[in-house]
Amino acid sequence: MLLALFATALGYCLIVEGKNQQNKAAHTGTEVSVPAPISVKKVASVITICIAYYALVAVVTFIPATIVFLFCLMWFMGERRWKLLIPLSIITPLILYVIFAIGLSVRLP
Amino acid sequence: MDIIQGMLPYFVDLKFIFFVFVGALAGLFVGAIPGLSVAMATALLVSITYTWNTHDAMATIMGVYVVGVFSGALSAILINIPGTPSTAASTLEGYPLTKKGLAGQALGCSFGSSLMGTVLGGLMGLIFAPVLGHYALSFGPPEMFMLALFGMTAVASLTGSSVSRGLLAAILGLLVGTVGLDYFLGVTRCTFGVAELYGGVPQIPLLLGLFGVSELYSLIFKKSIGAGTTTDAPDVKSQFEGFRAVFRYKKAMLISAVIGFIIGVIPGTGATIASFTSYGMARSVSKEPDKFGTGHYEGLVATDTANNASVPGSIVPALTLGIPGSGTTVLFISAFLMHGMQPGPSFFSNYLPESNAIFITVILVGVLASIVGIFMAKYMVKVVSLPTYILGPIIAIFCLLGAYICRNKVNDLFIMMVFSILAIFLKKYNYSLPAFLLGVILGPIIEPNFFRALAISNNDYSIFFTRPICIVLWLMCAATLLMPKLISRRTAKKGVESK
Repeated sequence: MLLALFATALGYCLIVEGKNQQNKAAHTGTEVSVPAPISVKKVASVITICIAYYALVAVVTFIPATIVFLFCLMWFMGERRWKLLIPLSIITPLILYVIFAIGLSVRLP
Repeated sequence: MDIIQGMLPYFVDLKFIFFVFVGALAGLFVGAIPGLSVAMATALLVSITYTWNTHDAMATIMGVYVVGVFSGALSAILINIPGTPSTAASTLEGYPLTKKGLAGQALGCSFGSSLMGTVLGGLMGLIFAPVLGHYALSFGPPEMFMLALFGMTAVASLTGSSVSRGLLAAILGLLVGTVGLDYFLGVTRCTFGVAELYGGVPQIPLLLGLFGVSELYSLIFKKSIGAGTTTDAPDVKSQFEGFRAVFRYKKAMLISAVIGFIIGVIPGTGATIASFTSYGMARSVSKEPDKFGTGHYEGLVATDTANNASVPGSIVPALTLGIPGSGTTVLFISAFLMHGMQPGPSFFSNYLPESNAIFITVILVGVLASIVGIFMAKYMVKVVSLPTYILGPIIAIFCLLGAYICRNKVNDLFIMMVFSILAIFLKKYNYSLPAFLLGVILGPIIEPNFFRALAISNNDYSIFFTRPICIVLWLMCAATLLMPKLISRRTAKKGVESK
C-alpha cells in the first residue's frame, strides 16, 4: 500500500518533469530528447535464440546444445566464415566442459 | 600493530595469493574490454564461487572487482574508450599522452597510480571500517530501516538520470523483493504457483539477467568494440618510466587517495564521481594547471589514484552498515549473503578476520595487478579489439553457467531471461539498474525492520522521527534527494555566468 502510494506520487513527478521539459524546449526551440530506438527485430531474435538454447540445454545436455547455439548466434551476429564458425562452435563448449565440469567439479546441465 | 600482525598470515598464504592472482588476471581482461562490465563478471563469479570456501571466493571476487576499475584505464588511454565508466576521466590525460607517442609511459603512470590508490584506500579501510562498525552496533530496527531507506535514496538519486526515475526503479526493486513467503503472516506473495519463487526471486539469475545477458543485447549492434582504432603494444621499459612519474606528484596522489576514499564511502557515488572530482581538485592545487588536458601526468595520477581508492571506500558502508557504496558493491553484498554472512552493524564483531582479509586482499590485488599489468599490457591490447561475434556468445554461455550452477534448476535460466528483458526497458528509459537491484536486495532488510520497529512502539510511527540517529538519517535522505537538483542548478548558473 505504502509502495503503491510512493510509486503513484513519483509517477506524477515524472509527468510534471516531462511537461516542464516540453515547456522549456518550446521556449528555447530545442527538441525534447527521446530514447534512441532499438531494433526490436534484432533484440527479439537474440532473446529467442537464448530461450531456445536454455530450453534445449535441459533436453540434450550442455555440449550439443552449446555447439548449436554458438553456431546460430555467431551466424546471426554476422560471421560467415565456415573455417571459424565450425571449430569455434565445437572447441569452445569442450574447453568450458573441461574447465567447469572436470576442473572445478561444477554440475553442468 | 594489530593490523600488521593480522595482515602477515595472508601475505604468506600461497593458496590465498593464488586465488587473488586468478581474480586479478580475470579482472585485467574483463576491465580492459569495453562492453564487458565488472558488474557482469562479479555476478558471474558470485555464482561460480558459490560452493568454494569463503576466503577463496572473496579473494577471487575482490580480484575482479578491484582490478576491473584498474584495467579499464587501458582502453581509455590507448583508444579513448573507457573499459569501465569509472575510468572515463582517465581519457582526459591518458589519450593525449598516447597521441604524443607516450602510450607506454601513460599506461605505467596509470598502473602506478592505481597501485597507490588501492594500497592507500585499503589501509584507510582497515583503519576506519572497524570504527564505523563499532558505532553501527548501537543501531536498532528503526535505525536499520532508516539506514536501508537512506542507502536506497542515495543510490536512486545519484546513479540515474533523474531522482524520480531512480526512486521508481528502487520501488520496483522493492516490489520484486516482496515476492515469496511473507515473514510475518506466512502467506506467499506473487509466486504464481512457481515453487522456485517461494524463497523469493533467486538473486544470481536476477543479477546475471540485469547485468550479463542485457550486455549481449547491446553487443549485437556492434562489430567490434575497439573498431577503427589502432593500438601498438606498449613496451615494459617505457611503462616503468611512467610508473616512476607517479612519485613526482605525491601531493596530487595523496589528495586524490583521500578524496577517492571519502567519495567511495558515500552510498551511490562511486569511482566515476571520485575520479572527476579529484581531477578538478588536482588541477586547482597544481603548479602547472595550464598543462591539464594536454597529456599531463599529474592529471592521470589524480584520476587513477582516486577511482581505485574509492573501491575500498565503497566496501566500508557495505560491510559495516549493509548499504552498498556503489552499484557493483550491491553484488558484493549478495556474495556475502550467498556465503551465509549478513553484512551490517554486527559484521565486525562476527567476522573480524574476514573483514580484515577483504581490505588486505585489496592491497594485495593492487600490488599483483600492477606487476602483472605491466607485463601483460601487450596481450591486453589485443583483447580490447576482440570481435563481438565471439564476445556475445561467450557472455550468454557464462550467464547460463552462472545462473544454473547455484541451484541446478533450469527454471532459473528463464527467470534470468525475464530480468534481462526488464533490463532492456530500464536501460532504454534511463531507469537506474543499480537502484532497482538495491531495492531487491534491501527489501528483506527494510520490511522486517519496519514491522519490528512498529511492534516495539505499539504501532506508533513517531519512532522513525524521534530517535536521534533516525533524525540524522532523515536529513541525509533529504540532502541526497536535493543534491542532484542543487548541483544542476549551480552548473547552469555557472554556465550562464561564463557566457
